[in-house]
Amino acid sequence: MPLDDAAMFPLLTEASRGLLTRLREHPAAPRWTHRCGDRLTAEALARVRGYADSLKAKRNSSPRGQPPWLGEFLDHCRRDVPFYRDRLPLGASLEAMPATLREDLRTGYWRFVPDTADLGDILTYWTSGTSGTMVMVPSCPEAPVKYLPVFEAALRALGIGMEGGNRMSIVQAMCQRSAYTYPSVMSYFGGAGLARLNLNPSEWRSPADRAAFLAEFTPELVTGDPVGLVELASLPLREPPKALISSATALLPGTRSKLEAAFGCPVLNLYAMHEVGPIGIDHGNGLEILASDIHVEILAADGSPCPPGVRGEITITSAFNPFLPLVRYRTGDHAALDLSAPAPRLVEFEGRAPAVFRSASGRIFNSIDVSRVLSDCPLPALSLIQRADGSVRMRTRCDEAMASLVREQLVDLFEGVGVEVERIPKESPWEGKLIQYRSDMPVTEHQKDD
Amino acid sequence: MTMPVLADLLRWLAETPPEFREDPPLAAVLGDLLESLGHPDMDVAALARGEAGLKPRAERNRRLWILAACRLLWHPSFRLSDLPADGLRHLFAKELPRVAAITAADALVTEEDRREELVRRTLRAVGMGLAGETLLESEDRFCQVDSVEGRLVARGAAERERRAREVREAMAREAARMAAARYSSE
Repeated sequence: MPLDDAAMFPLLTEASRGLLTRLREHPAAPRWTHRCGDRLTAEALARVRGYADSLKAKRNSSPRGQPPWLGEFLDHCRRDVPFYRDRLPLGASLEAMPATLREDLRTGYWRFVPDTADLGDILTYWTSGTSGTMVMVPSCPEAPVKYLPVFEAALRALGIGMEGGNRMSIVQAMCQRSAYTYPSVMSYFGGAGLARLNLNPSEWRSPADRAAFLAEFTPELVTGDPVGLVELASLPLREPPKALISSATALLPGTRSKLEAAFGCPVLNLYAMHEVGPIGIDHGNGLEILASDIHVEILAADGSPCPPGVRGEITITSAFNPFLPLVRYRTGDHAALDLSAPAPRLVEFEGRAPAVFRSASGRIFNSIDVSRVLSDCPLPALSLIQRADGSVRMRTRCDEAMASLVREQLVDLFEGVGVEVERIPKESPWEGKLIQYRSDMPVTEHQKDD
Repeated sequence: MTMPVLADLLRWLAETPPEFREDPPLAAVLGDLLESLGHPDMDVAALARGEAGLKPRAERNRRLWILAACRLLWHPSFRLSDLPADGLRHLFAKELPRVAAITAADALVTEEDRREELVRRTLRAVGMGLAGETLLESEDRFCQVDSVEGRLVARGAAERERRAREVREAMAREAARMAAARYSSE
């Protein structure tokens, strides 16, 4: 049963209802594909506000030592969380706790939900990560909303404040073949508007509607992946946002400079995972760890802690999402801790790489679309490169029948450009990361200049 | 290649050659299988050995469950796919020992639900689905044949079992709605 507005927006006011209706019914609005609310009750909102106050009070310093909340958190995990109940040794230090793997979450996600959690509040997100296999992520309304005070903390450090109220505050900009899009309002920002937009022109009644809609609903903050943000830079905005927050894939320095020049505002890079929360935000000097309930360790391959400055696997102990407490969760991403600045940072980060492709007709899309198209193909590893001439070379491990299917799907997605699928035999080692995307062709005006 | 069909995999298991049930040397069977699946470097000896401290009968039961999984993984649906080493390791080192601790491997001969449980555990471990089933449908069916969770009831932990079921059902309902906003892309 779809939810009604009362369930999606428990704190809806007359003013925010009016804004929501305008967003839904505006003649230049895109063809919305979804309905989403913040689901936040007064009690949950109060908890998020308390969290925001704690972030205002002091900068996070937890990676410098054991955070003060850790003892109680581990007790809670042992007592209330089925996955940890017989797993965490009593009274031991964090370093003695076993690691939690993505595989544990994938095969037993329900065991992470505390017995004390009210299932009336449960939310479900999906994440595919770099491994390509889908994982169900339990969550609750306050967990996604807690991103907002973390964003505020990052913006505050740059002297930027969010206004909220009866206006559009956040636009999430994407440019994908297809995407969930919806208008919403945020009780955390006094009922201000949120719109998740797919800037792919085919998702709008008319391509000109994109600029018209943004002129009517100009956001304070734009979040999105680099592809969506670059597309947004091609549209005329009535006034620039106060800041951009890029996430989902790495933000290359050249792209950041172009975006800063185009919008005349700071561009931050967010490193976040659905199952963890916002781990770090970078504005040019490393990923600052802002969330006070996310504790970061850097571990070597043998599980021993790396000293500051030495790269290793980012490993997270997190109370950020009350419905998914994580103890020593190994992210698969790598970085080093830098404790020389006032707030701890992750430097030399190596995560997911961005890639933007162009079809024969000139349509722009990104690696998320490729992953989606290939989601039913059990490929353990793939390397997809679009050459400067537009042709596509895919390397993977599979049998001939699967290679044909993959070729068909890619020809369809790239709308007829030449696609070559090379099968790497089991005897040959796989070079580099398991999932690699790269484009050698300029796909936007910005990238042509690079 | 299409996704495997449940009936084919169940039939394949039901037709397991008798020698698989006679406790042949596990390391040799596992070694052959993992080499054929493209993972000759996995630590076969450790996987075959398992954790120390099991009584001989329990240890034999563990081996028989792993042997049954080896037979299943010889099916062309698996052998012609590239299966992730992490998933296979999890299956052999964690999932199957947990099942073997509470369910006799003989049940694989007598109970179709146990054969289906083995199929579904194996598919989940290697990140594959079944033809004609959505992820939610397959989660729902797995709940019904999951003997580890089911056994909690028999052990008097009905409360925990009920809770696990309720969490899974509530999450499935919410997954279908997808009605909570997000504020950034990830």
